[in-house]
Amino acid sequence: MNITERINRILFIMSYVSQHQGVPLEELAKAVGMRPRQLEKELDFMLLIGKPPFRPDDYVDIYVDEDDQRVYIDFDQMLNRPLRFTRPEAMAMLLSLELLDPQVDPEAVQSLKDKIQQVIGSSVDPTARLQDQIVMESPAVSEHFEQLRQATEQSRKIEIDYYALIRDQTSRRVVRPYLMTKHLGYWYLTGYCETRQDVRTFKFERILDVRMRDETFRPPPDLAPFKDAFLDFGPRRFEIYFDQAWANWILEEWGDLVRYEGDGVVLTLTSETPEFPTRLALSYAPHARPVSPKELVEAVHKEAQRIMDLYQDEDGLCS
Amino acid sequence: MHTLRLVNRTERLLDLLTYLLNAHEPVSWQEIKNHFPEDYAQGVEESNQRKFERDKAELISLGIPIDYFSGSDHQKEGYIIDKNKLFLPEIEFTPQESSLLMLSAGAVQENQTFPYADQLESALHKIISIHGNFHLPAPPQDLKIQAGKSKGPQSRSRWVRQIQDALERRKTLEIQYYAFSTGKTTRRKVDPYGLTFRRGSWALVGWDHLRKAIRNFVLTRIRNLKVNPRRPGTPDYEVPQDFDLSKHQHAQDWQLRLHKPIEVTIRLSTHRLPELAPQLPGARRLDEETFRLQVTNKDGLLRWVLSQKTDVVVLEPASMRREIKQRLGGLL
Repeated sequence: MNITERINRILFIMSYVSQHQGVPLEELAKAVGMRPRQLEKELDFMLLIGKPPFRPDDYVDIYVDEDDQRVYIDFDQMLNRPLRFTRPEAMAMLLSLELLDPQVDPEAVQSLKDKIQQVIGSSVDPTARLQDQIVMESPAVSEHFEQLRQATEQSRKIEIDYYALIRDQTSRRVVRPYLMTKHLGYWYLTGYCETRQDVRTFKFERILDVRMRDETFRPPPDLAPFKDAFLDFGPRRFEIYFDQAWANWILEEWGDLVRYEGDGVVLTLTSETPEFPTRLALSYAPHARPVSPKELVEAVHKEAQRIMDLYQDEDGLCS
Repeated sequence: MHTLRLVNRTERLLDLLTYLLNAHEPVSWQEIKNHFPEDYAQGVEESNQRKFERDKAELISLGIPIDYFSGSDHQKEGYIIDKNKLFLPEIEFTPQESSLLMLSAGAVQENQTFPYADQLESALHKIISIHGNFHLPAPPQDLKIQAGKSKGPQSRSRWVRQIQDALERRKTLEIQYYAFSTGKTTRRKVDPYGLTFRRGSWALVGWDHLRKAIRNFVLTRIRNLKVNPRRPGTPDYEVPQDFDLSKHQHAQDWQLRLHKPIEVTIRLSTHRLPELAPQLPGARRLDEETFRLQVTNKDGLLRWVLSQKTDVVVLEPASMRREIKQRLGGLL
């Protein structure tokens, strides 16, 4: 911990205890990420802080009451309120708010942003604009965002038209929406699909239509186990070879799922169907080659042929 | 008795802060020396002054507005803290707002590559300490934001914070950059202008001294990085007035500026329209299913078109249609 962080922590302790006399030692320790013993030592150190001419009441007096194990402060020497934001702190707040899409809750998000802006404005000069230094992507937000948010919040069933990429088809489903996740810039809805009778994850941009139902449902008491549901891609393994031209990119994108082979790399994907691996192999043609299983090899060849058929007229023109 | 005090720097800084904070009028350098004799009145005057300047700079970096008042008829000259600017103003959040704040803060804190993650914690601490209690509501259970990749090489891009520091101080970077397109590692000097974040990875945008142009550098391809250590308090460069970082953030691969713009016309199949049309930022819609795009990364567009199988067809230019056939022919 450097000196800045330590001073910040000390000032936090001072201001917090000043505003909340008698906060339990344990609770304060937890909030500053220290063990109670460590915190007590830090409080002892704080007794040395004072102002000239350093008479007894010129020092900070902060202590743990032995009877109730609570922290009190008698002399705070005016260090009783948090300091204004530093520029990096202001940037930190702006950056985190940047990840929050307004659509999540239009009113609350806006008023939260306004309040933070106001505090920042009074802390650092208004030229501290995050967008001058850091730009985050703005995700393509679905026009159905509000409906989906409402349904999730109110535990109401919805009927959706969903284009399932892994089956390359659109179908109508009844879903009990459990939670919404934003992952790498994309929003997903995880819920129980009554049609498939299983928990499924739906990418927002493929939800083509939403109809609210009047029926409500009781959501599972703990949603934590579902939070990574969208990372579960299915049980089957598919292998694609990429030659030297793209090996580095594939490695960077897929990391642990890639192994070296010859001059190139082999990517092993898991999925329910060959649909996604097929699309990936096609997009890197001719530098990608489906390896296994046979079903993938056949699918890639078939689709490549179908796409080429769309461009046949070119031959007609040329000849 | 204070002549016997043994002080370390943390204590000295806090004492200095307490002193200035409680002073009713500006405090002169002589008074400071009188009150902190072991700290600022030992040996050479010049080094005492330098020591005080370092301490003052540290306090200022903590957000403490220390000014020098040059004196008037009514007040003597000296150092003073502007108390109006010192403290965080009162701020009250509704439970809903706090919970959203925790949701977005969680996304930053969860990701080790994010700049300002430490500072976010101290900012939240400040808010907590005026807000009433430690138990700010948890983020909403039915919402989660995950900003970065939790696995893979992207999660290990360790340069963001150093670049952010260089950006703040406008210091030139020296990097060793591994370019995928050439397969070579080169040493370059870059003046950082900004950082962009997309799909879980960071890119540095800056002035490349070698190419004499603004370039993007993917952080995971930076093999080594050094911030110019010389004259840390003095900026090395200025960011041009007309520089606009948002122009260097692209939503789709084909918008990456790799060559002169080419016009490409594509047709989408009807059943995929509602999903695919919104993915064409800046496109001109010619009719229900036909769109014209400005493409500055042909390869990026071709990869996207092919990944859509028969649902996206390139109508023009003819050269691109031929290229699609050639590429697929290589698969068969």
